[in-house]
Amino acid sequence: MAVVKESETDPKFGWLCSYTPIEIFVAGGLTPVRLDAGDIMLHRPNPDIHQLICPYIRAVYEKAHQEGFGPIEGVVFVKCCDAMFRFYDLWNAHLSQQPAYLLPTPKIQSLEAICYFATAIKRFTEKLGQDRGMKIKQDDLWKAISDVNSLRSSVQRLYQARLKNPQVMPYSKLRILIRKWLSMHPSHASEDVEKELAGLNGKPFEMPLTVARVLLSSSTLDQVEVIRLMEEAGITVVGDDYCSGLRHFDKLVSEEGDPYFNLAERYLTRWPCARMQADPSHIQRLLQEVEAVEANGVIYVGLKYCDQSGYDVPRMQTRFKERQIPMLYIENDYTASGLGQLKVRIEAFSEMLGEELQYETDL
Amino acid sequence: MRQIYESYGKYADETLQRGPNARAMMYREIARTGLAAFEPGAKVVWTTSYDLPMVLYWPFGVVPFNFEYGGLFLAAGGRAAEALAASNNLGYPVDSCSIHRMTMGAEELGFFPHADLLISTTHFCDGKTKCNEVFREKYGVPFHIIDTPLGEDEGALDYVEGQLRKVFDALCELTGRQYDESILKEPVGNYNRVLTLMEEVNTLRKQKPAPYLSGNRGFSMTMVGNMLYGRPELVSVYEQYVKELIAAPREGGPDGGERFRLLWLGGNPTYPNNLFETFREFGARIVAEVLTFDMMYPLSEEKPLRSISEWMLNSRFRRSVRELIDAILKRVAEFQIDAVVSFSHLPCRTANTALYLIKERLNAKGIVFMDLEADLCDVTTFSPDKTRTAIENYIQMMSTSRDPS
Repeated sequence: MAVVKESETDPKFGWLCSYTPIEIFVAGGLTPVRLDAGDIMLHRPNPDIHQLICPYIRAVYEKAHQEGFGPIEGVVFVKCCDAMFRFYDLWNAHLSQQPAYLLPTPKIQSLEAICYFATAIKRFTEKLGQDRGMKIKQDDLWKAISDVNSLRSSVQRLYQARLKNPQVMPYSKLRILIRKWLSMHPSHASEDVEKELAGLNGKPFEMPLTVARVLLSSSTLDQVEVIRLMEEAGITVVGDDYCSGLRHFDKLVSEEGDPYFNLAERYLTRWPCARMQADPSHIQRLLQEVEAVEANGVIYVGLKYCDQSGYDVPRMQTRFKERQIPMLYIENDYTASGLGQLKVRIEAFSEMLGEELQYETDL
Repeated sequence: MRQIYESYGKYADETLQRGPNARAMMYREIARTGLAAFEPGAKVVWTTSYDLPMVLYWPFGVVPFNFEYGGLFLAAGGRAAEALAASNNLGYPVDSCSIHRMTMGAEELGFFPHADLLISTTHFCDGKTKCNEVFREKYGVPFHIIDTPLGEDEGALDYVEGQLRKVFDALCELTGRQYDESILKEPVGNYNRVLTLMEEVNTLRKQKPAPYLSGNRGFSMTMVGNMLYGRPELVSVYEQYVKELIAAPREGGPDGGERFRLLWLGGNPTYPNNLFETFREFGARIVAEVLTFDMMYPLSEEKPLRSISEWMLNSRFRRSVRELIDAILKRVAEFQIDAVVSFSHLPCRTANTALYLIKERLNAKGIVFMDLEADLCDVTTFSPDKTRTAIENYIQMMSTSRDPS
């Protein structure tokens, strides 16, 4: 079996959506880099792109123009939402020095959809290899699948370990680490995760134990400042449900059989996001997770102009109300602006959770 | 909704008493099929008409109901404020597409007929898919969403056709019919006859000067007409439409004669507005709509489901902006267009995200791109004065480019 290079100097390939099968890049000797623009503040209008669309896309576009992602060999777009589909067009028109690929990704989970997606992944693999003047070998793909699976397993174990003692690692710190790992070669990232896991044993608590245990849900959330507000308000984030959180690391790819089918099957049937017509649905899966992490509240950070998740919110509120789980809905424009207003609402929510738990204890 | 359909029926009857009229004939059919959904025992299928040709439904005797169009009709009937408020009250995002907010609000207010079956597509758009998801949970009726891929190869066609066959099965089950694809032969034949007439319409509108049509008549014929694809009545509607175009004034007419030729891109505002009055004042005639050409893919009587799959994959809504620009430029050349009018529905991510690319390419070719922004349903986003000023400026640009002196 060929050995995949594991060098920091590997060429990098960008991805945006968690439905991107990054194993293909790894098999092609590329380091997958999540295009994370959580640290930039849009400070000038860009006439190329409409104002009333996903602020994550606008931020990535701006950062790409500033060459903020460093040298990347190309970008893969998944047709995950309408805006992302058009972002592919914009990238092609204005950032064509970094070739863009579009992967048709079904929104359903039938066997036919999996087969269709498997073919699409295979074609993409061949095209990527061809464009890079190489052939991506099946052995390399198996190795990549194994590497990414290892990373997934490690991150899952880290979440489980932290769940037992959330005070050992503030969620904001975990978030910073995850963001870093999402742009590293999976085998390097796995090593890092394992070090963190090993360090958790006997580690002194970094934060006080609070009664407010919250699951944080969103479509995407890279603004650590927002998470810190929660922690400062006495909230312990015990779990998450968003594209670049634990959901991204859910479910391993089977390492037997046809690799393309296995990849398609894993990506379409993993913990779904709001784009998928899935069974269980995104909302059902969220409810299961809230129960699993024993959260006593949910904070939903809505990304402005994200239609798919926006349509989930009223149903989430209804489901949580039925289960008497308090939910706070706040909106974010993929920047750390408006923190003062958010602070007031988050503190009020934290207090309310504390009072409710006190009331239950008194009873 | 019932009242809206009744008002269409009344308008049609009154208009038709004065003689044949294609628009009135079309609305008479819309009213008839729409009201049928409220009849006891009616089997109603909530679906989408611009992404899945309606020929599929008529042989089963079911009533297809396009909830997005339901929302648009209600907005046109002056019910937008209450439906949008109901949607806001439910917690749906206020910055999402007002067509879907109308849908959610109108459904909550009980305006829509009941649903026996939900059939839709994943593309286009995200809002439509999410509405279907909500309705599936709410009604608990069988739900079939056809995942529409981006490719057009045999694999993509097989994938769509396979899903269509399941939809066909579901319709058989709902109505107790045996699986027999040949029942689609007649509606497909009707649709293809309409296509021939649509070609005649286009040929007539390519004439310079083009026949004068009031308002945005061509657009509404396509937009509303696609709900009747496969009905024999639509053949008569289009036969009458062709006659009207032949008889319509070329020189002179209510706009004083054609000065500028416009291609319409995007949707049409549902509320009363001054757009078309202003165009008329300046002799700016809308001679074609991009939407029309998206609805004109021929179907096969021998292999109807396969060709419906092709129809679906041919949709511009799933094409790249580059391909859309090529299609626009083709029409610009064929119809000798001076300006492309984009009535940009503000919350539409598909239409707007890369809209600037269209403007850039057209301007580079010396074609004026009239970008008129507002919302299709929500009149509060529309400013008649601002719109008039914008149109005047674009007219000035066209006049200057034609005669720089």
